[in-house]
Order: sequence, then structure tokens, then C-alpha cells
Amino acid sequence: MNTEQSKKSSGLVAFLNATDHKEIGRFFISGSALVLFASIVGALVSVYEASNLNKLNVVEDTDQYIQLWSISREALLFGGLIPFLVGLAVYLVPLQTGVSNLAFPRGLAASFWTWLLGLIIFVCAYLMNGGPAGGREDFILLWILSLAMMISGLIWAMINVITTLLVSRAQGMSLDKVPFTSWSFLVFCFFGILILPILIAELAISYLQVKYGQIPVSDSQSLLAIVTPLLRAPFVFWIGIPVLGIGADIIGVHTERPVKRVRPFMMLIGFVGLLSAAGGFGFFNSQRTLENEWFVFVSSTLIFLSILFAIALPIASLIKGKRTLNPAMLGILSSGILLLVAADISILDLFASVNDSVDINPLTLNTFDPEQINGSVLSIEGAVNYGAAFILVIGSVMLTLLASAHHWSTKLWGRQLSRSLSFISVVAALVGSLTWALANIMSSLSSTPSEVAGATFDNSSEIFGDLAVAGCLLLAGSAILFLANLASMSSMKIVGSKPTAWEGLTLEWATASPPVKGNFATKPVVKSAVPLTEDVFVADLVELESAESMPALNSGSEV
Amino acid sequence: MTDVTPFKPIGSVAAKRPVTKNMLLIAVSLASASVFVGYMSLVGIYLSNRADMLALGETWLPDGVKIPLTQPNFMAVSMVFSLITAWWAYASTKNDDRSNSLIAHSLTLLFGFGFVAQTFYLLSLMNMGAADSSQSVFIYSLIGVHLILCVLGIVNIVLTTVRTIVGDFSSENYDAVLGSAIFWTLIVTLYSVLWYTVYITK
Repeated sequence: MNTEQSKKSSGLVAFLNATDHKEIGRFFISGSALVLFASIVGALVSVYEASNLNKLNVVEDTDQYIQLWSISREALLFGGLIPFLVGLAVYLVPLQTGVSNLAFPRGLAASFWTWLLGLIIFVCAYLMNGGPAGGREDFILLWILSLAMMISGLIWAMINVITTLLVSRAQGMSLDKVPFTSWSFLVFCFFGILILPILIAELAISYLQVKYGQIPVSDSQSLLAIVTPLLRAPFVFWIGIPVLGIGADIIGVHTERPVKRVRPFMMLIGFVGLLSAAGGFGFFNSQRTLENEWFVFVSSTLIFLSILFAIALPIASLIKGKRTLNPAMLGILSSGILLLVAADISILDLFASVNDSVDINPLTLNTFDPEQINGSVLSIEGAVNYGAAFILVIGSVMLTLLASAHHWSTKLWGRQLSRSLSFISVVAALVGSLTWALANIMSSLSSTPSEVAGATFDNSSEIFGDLAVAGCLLLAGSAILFLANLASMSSMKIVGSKPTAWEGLTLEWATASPPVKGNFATKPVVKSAVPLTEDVFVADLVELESAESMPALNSGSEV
Repeated sequence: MTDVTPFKPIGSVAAKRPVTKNMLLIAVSLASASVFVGYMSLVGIYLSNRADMLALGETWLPDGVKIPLTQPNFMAVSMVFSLITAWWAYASTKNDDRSNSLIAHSLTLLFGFGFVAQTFYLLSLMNMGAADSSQSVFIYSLIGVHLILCVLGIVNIVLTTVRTIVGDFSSENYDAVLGSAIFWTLIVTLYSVLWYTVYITK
């Protein structure tokens, strides 16, 4: 073996043996970013096929269409958005709480590999005609197992994050002094480990039903219903929890005015988590009826109010603090608004849906003929606009991820993402998700549910279909730009940044960019929720400011 | 990860070692909560389907299937005894009493293996094919998932026993034994749900 080969193998060995939270966090983020892009492309094709039947001809029949739609939304959730958030949590939580690694480094590695292996099997299962509406029993079973594997990996990573936050914080950092981002990840992960096992239970039952012929292969479309509850209010807002915490941190840093009412804000984040989980439990695995609708209505309304107040608190910083416009700020502000609109739509949707029963496709429009798909296949009783709310939540989380990547890019990769590319990417994601959601809303407003259920599609819905395709294209474009931004950055030299870049106030800014092994030379001691304003840190920062070898970031102060 | 940064990290105040005790305990508790929710979801799905069938005026258990009570009751007794011995093992470890800890672990394993054997015997008595009816799938899912958890618990106790033999645990280091006892408590709790939902209520 020559030197180059040995270098390569040592790199591969290092990759396989990685247990550092920063490495695993990057793996999660990179992998899920790719899957996110692929799933948006899948959704784009799915939307195009639904609104322009027989024009693109990527899919040959209804079963293939359902498979395409199904893989898009499952990959979006369990391969893209949730793992990206988990990756961010894995990367940021130890840095923000002043510890050297997550509680169980090997467990963390195991969770990543379980997720990745599950993801690979998941894709293979679909390629071999498995999944909902699949034609081969073995690969339908494999799809169920792979989904359970991915979810299990994510649950284990979440347990690791929670344990770290509960047990291994820096000295002096009580729970109410934990940065908002870490707090929101704590809430997100806590309710994640309570929500996701329900899906595993459903998968376990479905596995046996398929295995022992209770769900024949010809009726495998009914398996679509397993994931559907996670896409609907109030469950869907669980995915949006980190938006609030990350938003407060980013706004606090860029306006140089941290959110003042720390405990109420934390309580509001916890409240959103509690309501999204509790409201969801109320109607999980049951039909929407008048009897249980009030429960969903109350929880959705309270979620809306919680998000409204949670957004109002950082807005005060925005009004009184420094006016700054950069991709991180634009992204995070847009994401908050989208989340609020999504919550609003989910309430309005309930008013419209109580007495209606309609077949809905949450990622595409309501234009697919339910008769073609065997009636019960997409029989999700109730909501008219929940597809729009889901799309807005997706958009909100995507914008948060873009904003986070820009804000923490020096921490994540030691290099600064291109400002212009980040801007375009954020704008594309914002316009794309709004357009896509608007198409769904307009489509449902323009035709009554009964018309939708009975008709194939009409001219008006074709227009909305084109609108949805345009929105989807913009989202895909945003994802491409983000990946291009990452790729262009990889050719740059690691420059690092001042620890004080962005004038950050939490502990991740008290170490190098990218962080050194072990994160901190000595274990930090903090006294407040904004440790970098404390005397001991200020003294160190002043010393560091004079270091000539540290180029400052220049994009944090534009007005 | 890179070490190329030319400047030292700040935060140079000497700190005490962060408190890491209870780490395993919290992780096991969270994992147990997660498993509990998952299993209760299975129970919820089971009860929902059972209620639907009863509402149609039909019986839940398929024709020809009978669930005797003797075995489930003995299994319940085994579980209760194993719960006592699991916590006995923890208390002994905490008191640096390794011989008692080993006896307690061995008894827990004995009860655990006995439980698994009785479950298989019960399934053979029930004479219910998994593919025979939709009800059997639900019943097997509850029993099967519990059995898998029970086997995992036994494997965990075997590992804990081996570590006890080689002297890994002491009054200073007993988190793994405590974690093992918590997980076993979860298994016993879930059996009590299974016992009432499937074997008693039928």
C-alpha cells in the first residue's frame, strides 16, 4: 500500500471511528442536507405529475406515483429535516453548554450509523418496489424495518442530547441559563423521544400485518397512513420548536440585545412542545370527528398563541436593538413568520374541516382522483389546508437551517459561507415555500371538498398546480444553492474567526472557530445566561481581540 | 475537526469536574420512557381495534382460541419476584456486597428465563396461528414486543452479572446496576399492562 492509499484508509478509518460530537454532527448535517435536496426534488416531480398528468411521465402508474410521493415526504422528515436538526443539536449543545462532548460518544456514533444504515436500506427498499403501494412483500417489510431503524437512530441521538443537557452543563449553568438554542433542542428532543416511538409502534403492527397477510400487497397503499399524523397540526409543530430557540439566539446576537424575559420565553417553547405532543396524542390513530376535534382545536389555538408570544419577545430586541440585515437575520425572521402563519392556517383549517371528509395529498394538490387510488388509500378525513400548514412548517424549518448554517458556519466548518449565495438561498426558500403553500390554499378555496373528491382536476387547479411546481422549484433551487455554497466553501482555507464574531454571547463563541479538540482548554464557569458579558470572559476577549492572526468576520454589522 | 486554530480558547477559569453522576441513570430512564410510550401505543391500537370489533357484536378472540389463566398468573408471580431480586441486586451492589449481588442477579435471570419459557408454553397452549385472523396479529404484536424487551433485559442482566463477577461495580460505581434494575422494572410494568389487557380482559 503506498502512502496515498494509507492516507485514504486512515481517513476512512477515522470516519468510521469518529465519536466526537462535532464530527458526528457534521456527518448528520451533510448527509441530511443531501437527502433534503433529493426529497425536495422528489416532491417536485410528485407535484408536477399530480398537476400535469401524463406530461412528464416519470411515473407509469398510480402505485409509482404514491411511492414517489411517499418516499419524498418520509425522506424529507426522517432523512432531511429531523436529522438536520438533530445534527445541529449534536454539534451545538456541547459547545453552548461548555462541555467537551456529548454524554455517550460511542452511543452517538451508533445512533448515526443506525440512521445512515436505515436510510440506505430505506432507499434500496423503494428502488426494489417496496414501500407503500409497493409490489414486493419482502421489500415492503424492509421499508418498514428501515424506517424503524432511522427513527431508532434519531431517538438514541436525542436521548444523548437530553442527557448531556441535563447532566453535563458547565459549572454555574443552571437550566434557566442554558442558551435558547440548546433549550429548544432539549424540548424538541424530549418530545421527540415521546412522539417517535408511537410511529415505531405503528410500524411494528404494520410489519406483522403485512407479514401475515392482513395487509395484502395489493392494499399496501394503506401504509401511507402511518406517517401522516406527524404531518398534521398539532403534531407538525413539534418539528418547528427549534425555530423559536435558534431564532431568539440569532436575533439576540445580531441586534446586540439579548431577549430579556428568559424564563417566560423558555416556558413558551416548552408549552409549544407540550401542546404539539399532547394535542397529537388526542387523535393519533383515530379519525377526526366532532368529539375529538375540540381537543385539536384548543391545542392548535394555544400553539398559535404560544408561537405569537414567543416571536413577540425577540421582536422587542429587534425594535430596540441594532438594525442588522444579513442572511441569518432574514432567514430567521422569515421562518418565524412562516411558523406563525402555519399555526394560523391550522386553526382556520379546523373550522373548515369538521363536517367535511376529503382525500388530501399533503405534499401535492388535491387534484388526484381518489377513485384511482382505491378510495381508502389517501383517506385522511378532515383538513383542507393541512398540506399548506405542513409546507409552511417545512419552509420555516428550512429557513432556520439556512440561517443557522450561515450564523454558525465558522463554528461548523471554520469558514464563512458566501453572503450573497446565502441571501439568494434564503429568499428562494421563503418565496418557494410561500408559493407552494399558497397554491394549496388557493386550490382548496377554489373548489369545495366534495368537488375535489369527485373530480379529476379542472383548469383552475391546473394553474395552482403550476404555482405549486414553481414553489417547489424555488425550494429545490434554494437547496442547490446551499449545497453549492457549502461546496465552494470547501476550497477555501480554514481561516477561523474571532471568538467574538457576531458579538456572540453564549459559550460556543468562547472557543476557536472551528472548535479545538475537547472544545475548551479548561472547563468554563459561568454566572449568567450570557457568559461572554462576564468579567472573566471579557478580559480574555480583550486579549484575543488584539491577536493579529484572527481575521474578523465582516458580515455581522451591515445595516 | 481541526487543530489549526492559532489562538487559545477563552474561559480559562479553573473549574471543578462537571457532575457526571447519574448520566447512565438519566439515559436509561429516558430510553425507558420512550419504550413505555411505544408499548402503550401498541396497547392503544390493540384496544381501539378490539373496541371496534366488540361494537360490531363480535367476540374479540377468534373461534377456537382460548387463553388459560394459570400460565399468565404464574408469569406475573415470576415477574414480581424478579422485580424484587433486581432491586436486591442494586441494593447489594450499593452496599459493596458482591456475593449477595451475584445471588440476586442469578435469581433475576432465573425468573427471567422462566418467564420466557412460560410465554412460549402459553403461546403453544393458545394454539393461535399468526396469520389466522387480524386479532391474532394484534395479540402477537403485544406479546412479541414484550418478549423482545424481556430478552433484551435478560441480556443486559447477563452483562451486568459478568461485570459484577469481575468486580466492575462498587458502592462508588453502581449506575449500570441501577440502570439495569430500572429497565427491568419497565419490563415488569409493561407485563402488568399486557397481563390485564390481553390475558385477563381477553
